[in-house]
Amino acid sequence: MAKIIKKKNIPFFLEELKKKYPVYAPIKKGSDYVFESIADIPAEEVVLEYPITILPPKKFFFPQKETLFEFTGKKYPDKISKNKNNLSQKSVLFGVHLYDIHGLLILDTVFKNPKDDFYYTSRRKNTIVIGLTCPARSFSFYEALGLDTHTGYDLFLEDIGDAFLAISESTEGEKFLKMPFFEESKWREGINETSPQNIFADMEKLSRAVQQRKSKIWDELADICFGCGICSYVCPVCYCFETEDQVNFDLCSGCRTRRWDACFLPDFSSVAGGHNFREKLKDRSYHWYWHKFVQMPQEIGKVGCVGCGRCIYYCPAKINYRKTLEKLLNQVK
Amino acid sequence: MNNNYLPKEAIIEKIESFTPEIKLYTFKLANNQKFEFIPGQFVMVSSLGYGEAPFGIASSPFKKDNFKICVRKVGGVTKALDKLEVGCYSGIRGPYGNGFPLKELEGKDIILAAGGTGIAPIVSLVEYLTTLRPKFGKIYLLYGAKTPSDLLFSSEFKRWSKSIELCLTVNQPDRKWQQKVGIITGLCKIIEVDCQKTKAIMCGPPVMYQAMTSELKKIGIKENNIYVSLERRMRCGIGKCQHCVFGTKYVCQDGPIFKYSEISNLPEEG
Repeated sequence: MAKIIKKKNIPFFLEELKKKYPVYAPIKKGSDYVFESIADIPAEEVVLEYPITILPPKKFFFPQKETLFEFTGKKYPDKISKNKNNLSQKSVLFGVHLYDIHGLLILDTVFKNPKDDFYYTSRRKNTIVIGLTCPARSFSFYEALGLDTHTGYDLFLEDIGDAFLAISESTEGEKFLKMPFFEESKWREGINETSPQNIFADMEKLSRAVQQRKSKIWDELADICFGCGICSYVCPVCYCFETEDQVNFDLCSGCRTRRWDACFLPDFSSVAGGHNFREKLKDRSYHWYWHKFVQMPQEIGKVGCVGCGRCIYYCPAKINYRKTLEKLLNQVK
Repeated sequence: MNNNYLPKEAIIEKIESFTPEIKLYTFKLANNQKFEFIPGQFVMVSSLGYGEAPFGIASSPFKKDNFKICVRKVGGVTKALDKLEVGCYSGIRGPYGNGFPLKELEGKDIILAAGGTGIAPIVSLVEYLTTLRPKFGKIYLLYGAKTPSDLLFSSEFKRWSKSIELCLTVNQPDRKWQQKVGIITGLCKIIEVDCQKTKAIMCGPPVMYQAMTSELKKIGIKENNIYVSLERRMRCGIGKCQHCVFGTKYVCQDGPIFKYSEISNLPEEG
């Protein structure tokens, strides 16, 4: 028997969850939407239908800036102590669209192999993910990827009008279905978020398309790209980071932090002594496409894109990444 | 769960100055922990408060109580390391990377080529080869630097020369210099090897790799028998931060040692 939850009961469900866990959910901020903690926000303000959030949920598992460890010393820093960040607290992430769920699955693969990333993995295994149907939008193209609808979440809420069909994929999800907000229904199970057209179906052709290093497309892109890195920050599967030590005024204590980086930025490949392996913006912007469509398929068997469209929507130079890929594909046989 | 980002404590046991800019540090892990590595691997050394940087290990892999790295004062981390003294603590992560292909060197003639500070990881390989000398054929170490005082590890030259053919060259000799003058490619003339069973291993500036490979090919050594050690900006050392990616390879995981044939077709310069 399928289980459903009426849309009007969602705020009660969320308020009940808030009693037990920190809950993060999408809310409206100005004309945009963001994932925020709803500890101090009434659950009625959580949006059940939103086009996209500015930042993907990767920010909860791989924060923009975090402390890796602290250090202290008497005359100079010489003793390391573990940071007291709360990595083992269980929390709930509500309202994640399918493309963002798949973004997290890709990050799972890269952060666990070949060596585990302690900070990402600790947060991820302690987070319960509740997915949500994404309304049709003009700038995303995730339906064209044919993403698997049976993985990556604990519970998925499929929009069926005035209620959601609730599909569980884990024991945590099953526990939620036992809560009184979920009723039995004769509704047919299934999540319908695919489309016949799949521009990423032929990964091999896409890889060959991007490997056309001499194409004029790269010069055209470099002419209009600002090299700002926004596309990397809003991308669910970009995960470059920079580490930085910070020292307090006593010059003996401080911490090592890590923060988001972007391969578009000028110093990304520079080394001490002055050499820069990717000095030109054209080389750096080429590398972004190379990483997603040549390197990642080789490394993890998937392209580094989930079709969310954030890079298109938020690019200040209005570069349409999907159209660039289509142009490149047209140039190969 | 193991936290790969937490450095292990290490203490500086000894500091030797090669030049005003370059020093050799001997580190020992805290609590007398043993340090094991494969020649060619590197460690991420922290100067807490300044950051971390990768250094090739420059000591014998058979000595497990301590290890050495060569530090040139050139950036934020190295300038901070330069201020540390014997007895000071630092943080070490690693060893990381693939190391030299030791098994493939057995029974072969070996040409080692080092340029400038590139001698550092080659030192660990020289110590390995000379300790197990009978397992290998002819061994040449070609070492070039700008001036005679830029030739590092000179106190080891006599000992090494007892079991390997050591050939030195400088670009700018001083009055006392009696040996070869010119760039390292000039030393290739003295090599006499069976090119069918020779392996060449190099560490130095990228321009040296292209020039030396060209010379080695002339004497019959193929690109898939030539190995080079690459360097890149590194932040994690464990294949995540993306800074060291070169084509589809991570210099910190798939390298730093690569066959020349693996990298000559990739879209970026070495």
